[in-house]
Amino acid sequence: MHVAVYCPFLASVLLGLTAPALARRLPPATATRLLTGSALVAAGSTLLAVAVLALTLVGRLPGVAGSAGGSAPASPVPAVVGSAAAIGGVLVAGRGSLVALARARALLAARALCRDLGGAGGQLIVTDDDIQPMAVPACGGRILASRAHLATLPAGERRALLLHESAHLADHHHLYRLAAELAGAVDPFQHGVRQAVHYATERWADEVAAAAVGDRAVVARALARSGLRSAGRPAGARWETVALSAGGGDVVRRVRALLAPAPSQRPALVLAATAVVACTLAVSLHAQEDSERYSRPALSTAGPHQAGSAPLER
Amino acid sequence: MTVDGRRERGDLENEVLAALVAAGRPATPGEVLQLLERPLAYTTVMTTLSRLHEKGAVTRERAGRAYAYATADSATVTARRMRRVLDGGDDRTVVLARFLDELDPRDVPVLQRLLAEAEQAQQDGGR
Repeated sequence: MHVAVYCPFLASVLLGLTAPALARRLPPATATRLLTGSALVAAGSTLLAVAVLALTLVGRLPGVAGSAGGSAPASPVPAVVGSAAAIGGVLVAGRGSLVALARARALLAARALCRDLGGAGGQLIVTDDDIQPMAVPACGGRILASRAHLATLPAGERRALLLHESAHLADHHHLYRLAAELAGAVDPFQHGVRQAVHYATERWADEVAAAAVGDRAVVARALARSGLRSAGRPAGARWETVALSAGGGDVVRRVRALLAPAPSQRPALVLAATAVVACTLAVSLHAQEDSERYSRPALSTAGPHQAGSAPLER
Repeated sequence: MTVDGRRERGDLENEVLAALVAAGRPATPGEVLQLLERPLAYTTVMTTLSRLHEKGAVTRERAGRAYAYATADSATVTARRMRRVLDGGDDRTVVLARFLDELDPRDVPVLQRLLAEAEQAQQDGGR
């Protein structure tokens, strides 16, 4: 079990570092799916590795280890590592739960709002207050946009904006963002993935709008004009949540990407990344299997009431 | 109707509603068609406006031989009703997808230049 159980951590670090850079080179829809998938696998593997390491502590419990009579192999995992894993596991599980709860509250609040506002799936709701246009993924989806903002844009750019928001709803981007955020909450090595997925879903919606309109520059103009408008306004309404910004340079990057040719598929890159992710998964599962050789004998020889009827040999 | 078909219809309704909002005054289907600035069939616009009327998103009044459509009061909402969702210490940007996040003031001149560039491309090449 020795080295293998630590591999998920290494893979997780690697994925966390390389994924955002990789995402920039891929079409945004592909990037989103790859980033989210790899983050979930990495986070899952890390959690599994943490659990395996923490469980080795069980084999060291006085009652359990002593009764084996020295016949079960001593765990090569030092107690301090096992303890660190246990503590770390509790911490990230707690953090993950808090994040999940907060997002669940946000989704419920969004649903309550949509019920209050009425309308049908994907419908535009116009606001008097000058908010940023946004997509609300509840009750079939709603698009919020302010009267003032809509009046600022010429017809083509207005359409581009609405199609962008519609794309967020149609392709359920909020699910990818939630998954990435959860993965980042339970696996610190995946922290950068949240921002990368946020950016990728924005680019994805940009590209869908550009394809629907048949003109990338229109979407670029809509974005630039909206950005300049928001810069000219006094600091946004207090109740408009800002919290974590996805990065100040994002609007510029998106406009530039739209003024450049559409990104092309890179199957080799996708294959390579998928292979890495698959390997991570395989390694983690192997490590988990392997570890049972070191914990199970200690558990089962301690007495039938200590563990289930797991066989001594695998 | 397929999912895509329904979505296209929904997108068109939003586009027409947004045009009325931007106009800020009642408009006939013909005027709305002009506001949209793209080659759509008059009947398509008329049908879309009827659907919006059925949904209660727009009101209409007789204006000569045609109807003049305007956005309904109920179609717009005030801050008070939105506070529940948009307020709060949590970061809601994961759930709510905003068109753009906070802009760094240093990016303003860059954006201005890019916008000018994009507008120039529009004048030069057309679509």
